[in-house]
Amino acid sequence: MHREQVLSFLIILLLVGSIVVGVLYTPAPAPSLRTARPSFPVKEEGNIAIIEIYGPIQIEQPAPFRFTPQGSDYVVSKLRELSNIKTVKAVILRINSPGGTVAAVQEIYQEIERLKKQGIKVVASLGDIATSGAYYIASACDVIVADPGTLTGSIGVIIPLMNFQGLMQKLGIKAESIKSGKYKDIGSSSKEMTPEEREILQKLVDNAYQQFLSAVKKGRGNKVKGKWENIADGRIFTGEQAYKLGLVDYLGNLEEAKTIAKDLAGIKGEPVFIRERKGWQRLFELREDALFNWKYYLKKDPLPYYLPLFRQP
Amino acid sequence: MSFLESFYNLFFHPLFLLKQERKPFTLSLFISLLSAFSLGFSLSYISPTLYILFSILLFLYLLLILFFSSSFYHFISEIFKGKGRPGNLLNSFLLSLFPLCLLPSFNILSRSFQFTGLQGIISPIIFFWIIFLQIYIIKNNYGLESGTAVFVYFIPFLVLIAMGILFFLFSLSIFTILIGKNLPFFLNLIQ
Repeated sequence: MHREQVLSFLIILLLVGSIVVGVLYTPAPAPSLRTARPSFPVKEEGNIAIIEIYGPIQIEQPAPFRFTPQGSDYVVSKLRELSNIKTVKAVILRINSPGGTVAAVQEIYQEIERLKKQGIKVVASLGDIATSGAYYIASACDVIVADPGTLTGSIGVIIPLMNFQGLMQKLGIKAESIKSGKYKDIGSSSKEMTPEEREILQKLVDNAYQQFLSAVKKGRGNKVKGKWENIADGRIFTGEQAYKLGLVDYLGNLEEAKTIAKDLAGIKGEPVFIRERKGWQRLFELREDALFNWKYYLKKDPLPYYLPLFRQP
Repeated sequence: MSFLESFYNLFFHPLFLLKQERKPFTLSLFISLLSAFSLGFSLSYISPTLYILFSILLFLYLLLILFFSSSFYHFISEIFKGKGRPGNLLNSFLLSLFPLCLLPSFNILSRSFQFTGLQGIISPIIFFWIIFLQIYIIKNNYGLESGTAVFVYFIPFLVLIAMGILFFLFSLSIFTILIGKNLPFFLNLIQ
């Protein structure tokens, strides 16, 4: 055999061999950095994640043509994902919301509690508005930062109902309902509410309010100056008023919140602030990663992680 | 020239091999199959089954696209008074994909050393290498001047861009007509 032929044979072996290695060896679960890659561009150490909670908070139904997940499920899943990343030391919740449904808010509250138990510091940064359910969420955080003009508070529960009976009578519309129980059409807008129905709904609201209040007390109990009856009666406060009452820890913007989160998490040096990558950004993940993290990859130990024998997660 | 000799020349003297009138078609098929498996290599880390399926489809797609592009380039080259065999062009085009075969090796290297930046550096080099080879093939196969060969190579892309612009202008004109006819409706919408 000529030298050329031997060399060709070896090259073919190398090229085909590389492909066979790829097929045979599915990589072991990646090091801590890689587990998070799907949606957070985490760096080597000292990460502070920023999660945005904008608009009314509710458990949203999946809708067609929606490219990004919304609602409390989305926030919960992101918080859960962050709790699994060891290099994330703090999370900033950027809140700009008038509130939301009780269950949705409670789901996020629970997840924040879980994060805190894992030693991750959580800071709430309030924007234009963070009332009712939004403040419920903020109260679970270690620190609340608000602008002086932020509208917050509104600790309470409400069921907004309307009665169109008079209008319908004028229009000659008569609503009828066949029901299995006498309270099945409770809160209907086409009839007058009975005292019993009012009592049932009031108890419902009171119960939800007690849940709200105890959650806020748990989070802010020892920080609040003043009587809860005067604070948690549904009134709203500006950030400045809330600060004086102890509903808010600091006055400042998001940048202030970042500094506070850094100090709270005890990060020495410059922290890395990460936000979730949107779908289209993930398309360019490899390039971006290669461009901005090349120093990290150079520093890493050279054990081939694609060989499961060498590296355990 | 035997299969292995041609393979050697393809890697160490590619321009020499591409200049040859006769090249083994089995080598071209082998190279294009290997290229297809190399292109989707990152998929192998996610799901081997998906990777194999994808690569086979990609191989068929590559054959098809190179078949049509060879006939298109043959047509354009003849307009520029070039003389050559379209079969040879297709054969050479398939061989010109050989730099792609290096991708898996670089991929494994970059993963071994946790340096995905290597992949980012190598990919564009391979991309431009293939473009260079294909321009060389057109030049050599049809005896064109270098400048003409470059122009011929980029004509399909220029046509695509021109078509895109025309389509945009066409859509814009339709949209303008629609707005003109339904102006009151649009005004209401704004209010």
